[in-house]
Amino acid sequence: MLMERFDRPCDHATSFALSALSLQCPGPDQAETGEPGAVPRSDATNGSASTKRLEVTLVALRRASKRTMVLRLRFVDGEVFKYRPGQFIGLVAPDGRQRFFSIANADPVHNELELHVNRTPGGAFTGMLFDKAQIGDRFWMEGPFGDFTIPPEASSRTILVAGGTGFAPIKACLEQMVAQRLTGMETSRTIHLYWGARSREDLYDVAGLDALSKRLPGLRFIPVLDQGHPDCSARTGFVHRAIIEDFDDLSEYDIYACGAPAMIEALSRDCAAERGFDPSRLIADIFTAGPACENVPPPATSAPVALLLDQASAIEGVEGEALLFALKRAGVALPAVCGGKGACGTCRIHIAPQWRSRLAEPAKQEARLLKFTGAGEGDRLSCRILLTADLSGLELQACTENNGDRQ
Amino acid sequence: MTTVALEKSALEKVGEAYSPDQMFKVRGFTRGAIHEIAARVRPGMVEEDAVEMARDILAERGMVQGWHDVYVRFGTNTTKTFGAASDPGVILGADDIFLIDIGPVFQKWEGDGGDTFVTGTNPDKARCAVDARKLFHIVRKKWEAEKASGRALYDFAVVEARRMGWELNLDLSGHRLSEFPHEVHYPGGMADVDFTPTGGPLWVLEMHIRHPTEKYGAFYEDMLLDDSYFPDFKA
Repeated sequence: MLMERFDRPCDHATSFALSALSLQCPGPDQAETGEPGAVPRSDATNGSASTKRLEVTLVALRRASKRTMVLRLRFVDGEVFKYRPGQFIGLVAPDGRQRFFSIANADPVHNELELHVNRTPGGAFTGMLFDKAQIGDRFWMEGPFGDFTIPPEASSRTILVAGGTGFAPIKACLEQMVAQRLTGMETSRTIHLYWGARSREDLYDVAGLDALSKRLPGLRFIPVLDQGHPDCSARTGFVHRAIIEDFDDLSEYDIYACGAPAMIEALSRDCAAERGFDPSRLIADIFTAGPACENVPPPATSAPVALLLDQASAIEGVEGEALLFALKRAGVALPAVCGGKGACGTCRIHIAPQWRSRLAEPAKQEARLLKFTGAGEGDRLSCRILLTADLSGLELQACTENNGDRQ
Repeated sequence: MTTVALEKSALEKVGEAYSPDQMFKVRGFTRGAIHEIAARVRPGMVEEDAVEMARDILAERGMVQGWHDVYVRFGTNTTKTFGAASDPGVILGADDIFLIDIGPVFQKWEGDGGDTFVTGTNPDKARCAVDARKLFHIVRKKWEAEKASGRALYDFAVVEARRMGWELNLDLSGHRLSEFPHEVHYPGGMADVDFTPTGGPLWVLEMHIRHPTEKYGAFYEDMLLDDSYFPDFKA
């Protein structure tokens, strides 16, 4: 039995089944513009008594869409990390600054945190996570931060709004609702979730949401896409306009929103002006983009370059990238302390004799570093070798000693 | 407090090869190299050639390795953040500004330092270069006098920089040094720690200020040390 009373039922619109979306929409959209951001902004990032700095290991890495990566991080040394669903953590980037990501799971199952990372255009850290991160990489993280949460006992006059990876904290809160079995007691309660994304593909976890909705029968999911497609029945346009279309009176509603500043500002402003929404009933987690960095362009081309490591492992590089990054992705332990700039000499590898003459001679600084670090014949710095199509089949060996790999 | 104390001891760890004496020796080499590089920079030089020249100077002094790359940045490239590639082919003008940022490794120990210089008489650029150094010392004095945390020091630095008319780039916000490589102990920033960094060769303080609207900036970096290590400094 449905208990909610809409001032205006959303009849023309669209709280439609998740599976329908999956079936009715076309394939990935190819637009390259970025999401609003992957970094929750909050005034609550100052450390508190409950804030910890812990080391985590990357244990899972899944490309959920062209622009979104789902990561799982496990605490080193079995640390216990307590947080509330809706909170976020900071990961320390190689530049020493933190980038903030919402936790996407309610409980640290197997002592792991799930993060949804959106690739920020020009973003050094998210670019690194997409292009170079590999299972086993370690990071420092700090947290938890933030006050955002959705109370499991939220009333049926509750609207959830996610923009892009703003879905992550909402997912954690929905999981908490499932865990507390509130739906078992109140199966009739309806919660509306509006998820705004650029394209169908950017609704990157429809399957996970589908699974959640089976245990939260009152969950109504309304996807809103920036870009419409003739074969896709999802709403298009701004997510807050969809809410305004669906509700005549929002004066008694609580809205929980996670996403870009512009989305949240427009949501609050227009819903207040046009539907009597009380802005003090907006609980928001505002995402902003992290600092951009100009030195990490994506590979110029995605053409693969086959490599043979230690006469046994076939690995794949990408034309236009330095060999170092292909090796790092394949799990080869190279310190590369300077980040692949040809300054530290700690990414040494050994090239098979038949391939040496096909590589350009080392430039002055590489030659100097090779000599200084005691390199033998055929040794090169992997950060100085740019992969090209004619290097496909390159045979090499990992060096067991790289100065700097002492710990 | 216990948590902070634990964090401090964890993030200020050093390895077996760590030696304060050697670290100070590398500090001396680093400062010397910065000034030698600056002395060989001339108007009309292309930035890439200056970087080559800087690498040569460091290599001649036994500092072939660096824990980070060698940066000599000219003119508009002085606004580039740490690690960012410079715009290519920038030529130093006769009334211009340039900065140097090097992180050499001498034998097993890391150094790090930076400074900014001008080639002409432009008073704004000259003030920018002077202010980066001045800000370094203002923040350092706050650490010395108040035992402020890393986070508090950079919060303070942002305000002070703005008061001087500059924007502080927090991508460069202090970090550890140690035997090479310090990143195994703590790869993060000083601005992220809630304890008072220990003086000595464990940390560097760095200030990268930029003009709020124009395309130039200045950088200064040295170890976080008390007045006795800065004989030329006058409060």
